[in-house]
Amino acid sequence: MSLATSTRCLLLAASVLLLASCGSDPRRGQDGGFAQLVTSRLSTGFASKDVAPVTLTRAQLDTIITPVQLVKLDKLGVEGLIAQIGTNRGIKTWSSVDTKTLSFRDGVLIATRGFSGDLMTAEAPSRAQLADTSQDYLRHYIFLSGENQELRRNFTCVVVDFGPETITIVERAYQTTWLRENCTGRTGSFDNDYWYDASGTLRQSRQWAGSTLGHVMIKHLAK
Amino acid sequence: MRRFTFLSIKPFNRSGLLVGATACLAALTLPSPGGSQTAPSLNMYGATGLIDMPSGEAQPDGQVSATTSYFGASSRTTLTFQISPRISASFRFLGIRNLEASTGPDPFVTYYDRSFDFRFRLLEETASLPALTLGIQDLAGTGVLSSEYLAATKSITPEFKVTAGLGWGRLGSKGSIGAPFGARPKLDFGLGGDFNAGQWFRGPAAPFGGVEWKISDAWTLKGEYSSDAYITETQTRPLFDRKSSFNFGVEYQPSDYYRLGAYYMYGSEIGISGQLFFNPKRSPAGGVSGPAPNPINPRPDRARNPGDWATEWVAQDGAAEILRDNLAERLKQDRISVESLSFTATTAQVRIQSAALDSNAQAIGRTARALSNVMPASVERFEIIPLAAGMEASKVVVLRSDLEALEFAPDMINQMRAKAEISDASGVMPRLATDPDLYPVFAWSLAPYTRFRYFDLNEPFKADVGLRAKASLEIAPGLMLSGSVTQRLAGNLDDKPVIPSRARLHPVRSAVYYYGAEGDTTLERLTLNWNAKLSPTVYSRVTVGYLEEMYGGVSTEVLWKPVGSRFALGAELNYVKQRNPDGGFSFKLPASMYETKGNPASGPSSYSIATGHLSVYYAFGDGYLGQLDVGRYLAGDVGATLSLDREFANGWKIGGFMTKTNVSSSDFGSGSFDKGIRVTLPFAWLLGKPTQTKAETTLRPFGRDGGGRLDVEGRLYDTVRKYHENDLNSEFGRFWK
Repeated sequence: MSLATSTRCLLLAASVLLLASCGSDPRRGQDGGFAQLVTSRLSTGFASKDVAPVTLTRAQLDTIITPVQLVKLDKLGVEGLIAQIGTNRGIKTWSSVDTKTLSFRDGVLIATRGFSGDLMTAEAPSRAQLADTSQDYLRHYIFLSGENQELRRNFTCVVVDFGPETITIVERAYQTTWLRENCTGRTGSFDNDYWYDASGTLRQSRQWAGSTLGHVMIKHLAK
Repeated sequence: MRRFTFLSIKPFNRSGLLVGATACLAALTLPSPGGSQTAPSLNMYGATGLIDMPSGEAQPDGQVSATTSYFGASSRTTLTFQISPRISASFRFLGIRNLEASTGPDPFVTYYDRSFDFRFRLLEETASLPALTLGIQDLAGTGVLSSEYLAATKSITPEFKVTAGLGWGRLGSKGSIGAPFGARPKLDFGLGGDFNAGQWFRGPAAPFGGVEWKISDAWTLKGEYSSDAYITETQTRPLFDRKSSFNFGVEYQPSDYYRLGAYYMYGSEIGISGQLFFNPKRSPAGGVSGPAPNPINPRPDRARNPGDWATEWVAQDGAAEILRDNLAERLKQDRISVESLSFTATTAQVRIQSAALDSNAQAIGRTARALSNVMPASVERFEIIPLAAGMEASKVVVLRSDLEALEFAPDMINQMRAKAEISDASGVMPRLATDPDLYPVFAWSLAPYTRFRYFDLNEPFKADVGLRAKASLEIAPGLMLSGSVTQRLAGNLDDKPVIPSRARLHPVRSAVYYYGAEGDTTLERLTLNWNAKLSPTVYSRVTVGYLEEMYGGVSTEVLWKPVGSRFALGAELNYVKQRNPDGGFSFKLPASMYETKGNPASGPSSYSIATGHLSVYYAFGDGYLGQLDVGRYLAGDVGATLSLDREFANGWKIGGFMTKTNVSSSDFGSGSFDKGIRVTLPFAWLLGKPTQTKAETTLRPFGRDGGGRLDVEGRLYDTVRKYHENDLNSEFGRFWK
């Protein structure tokens, strides 16, 4: 048993010491390495609380000039504001202050970056496909495996119309139509929910971003 | 310093993290739903199996497990690696209490031995056929555990498995049905360490079998009939009472990372086992996170915005500096430094050095993205030249229009891999817009270290912990002055082991105890290193100074490695002098370090040697790497080392090596020749953060003086190949991350 005991003591001693490591490298900035990595792992900040207060008010929102969206990742327990930083071929990329990004085409999630388990890209339905509840279609999600290889997940989806629903986004009520996308594949199934207003603007959605990230709740704060 | 290794590797019995420790951390980080990805269970030998008997199944490809079990007087600690879907290997440390007679105060002492197994899965389970495995246990050396077997396992229901097998050797010692392949010759193992092929599948064969019933996600019941008579443990020495051939057990697996077992064995004994396992393919962190990349910035339509596509900017004063600074600013978050930027109106060529990202494909991708944001619209061709320890390692050409078209394309990984050209870094433009403030680069770090010494005859391992201070001054690309000093804080490396007499060899490695014991404060390394390219495919290194803990001198190396080649050839020539064990600057050897069991302390007061090797490297594909070194070793012996490693595309590397030289088995001592296992653990995999830090460990069952190699830092093959076609393509998905 002395083997196991000494291993444990050693690990304990090593882990205490690891937290004490430090260093400096001007080209690389601070690289304390392990110590910083451990602490940053404990504070999985998507956006810090003062930037994205959970109780965002309309008054606060009115002071923000650039288009923003409020996103919440339940599985990671993080919430934050994202602002648009780029567009390529109709796909808009939005970023949080701590540079995690989400990319959407017409409000439908296509990619994430900056997370472990990122959604690398997705083949997602168009607005017209989402409006058609009679036809099922294929959805493809691309992830990276633990060995950095392409991991393709295929699903067959169908849209269900849940009818009208009134939703509230930062003190403002919207009359919307609630659509649910029901997807099933070999690796499991999930739902995506979309709330469109009468003009066809997507006001709110809850979309699956993969098994690591889970669902992303997005309040589309367009004025 | 390219990378900080907190837990660093040293020649033959020092190392970084134990693999078991890794799995332990992993288990703490990610408790996951019980039994979601259940691998076939392991037996008390740490091999796939029941309780004491093997089964016909194999672990998932790449699976690593560390198992420790106790029953009766035996303890077995085993490391098992599923090398490929069919092949697995185990290395085991065995202790049998009170087995050996002793002349000391205790009449009997614990017998320690090492053993090595090999398993080959012949059949994968199908609807009608069982999984079938052929195994050879303890295939070399003293053969205390020697047995061979054929085992078949079939799932009757998803929860219920049945195993039946036929064993030889130990597994043929109870209930024999005869000896189908003739008598088992008596083993003359000499000094151990050699294969015992003459014995395999000879002698009496006996059937064994058992069942395994998974009663819930976390709990499994097992029962088996054992064909091991335990002759040595019950007859040679009465260590336990074997009353029955039936064993029963219960196992509890609350997570994907560990399992505990308790057993009632042979009608008289209680056994326990603890098993840790993980798969390098699955990061406990779920993948690497970090700042998101710059989105690709598509250029405006050329027909409608011809002005944006003008090329006058090329001649603009200070354009190079402005663009370089803008690029550097964009890459700062990824700690990619821009070494130079050259351009024409249509091509940009940038040299980069990546210090943090664990993937070079990602570093290339990030640079391409930054270029798309920085370079004027007329630049279509991006040529990215990554520097490996200051040397231009390759040239990756990416077309900007491909980046724009593929950023979110469903097949972006394969298409970009096909379109990116990876070539030798030839046809390079002169270095323009180099940053005068970039060099010299001074860096330092203070971090803990651990040192292990395995298998020194008294203990399975001993260890020290302490602090290591490192500093480096990168004077120019490829020219680096660096050093490290360690301060021991605690540990037991100064417990003196029995040092076996070493025949005619100079103690080039076996005196390592004195280096561990005498140097509380040790100058580990102090070197000046110069890397340079001699041609587009030839790289060179010169390292001068205190090269490692035990040697100082000059080390030179040349490597031929074309970017697209699976082959590489290398030559290394060193002239080194053995350092004083006190860890200071002296090369004078004290007489005390020559003391061995029964021999007086005397020997030469200095030792110098010219060593060198010719090396052939070959990448077989799928991450399997082979290497053959032929040359002269530290003790002046001449021979060859053969190594085979499996490197996962996330940086994990697990492999083994063996060295045969013209040192005879009797001159070498226990183990007959040098061999070992080595493991590299990338911290990025463990922590999910971009870092190039890794822990490396080498485990040698017998650390002796034959076949010893210099442990110089910065050897060229691993430095350079990471930027070459094979390695970049294997992880190309990271280009877009």
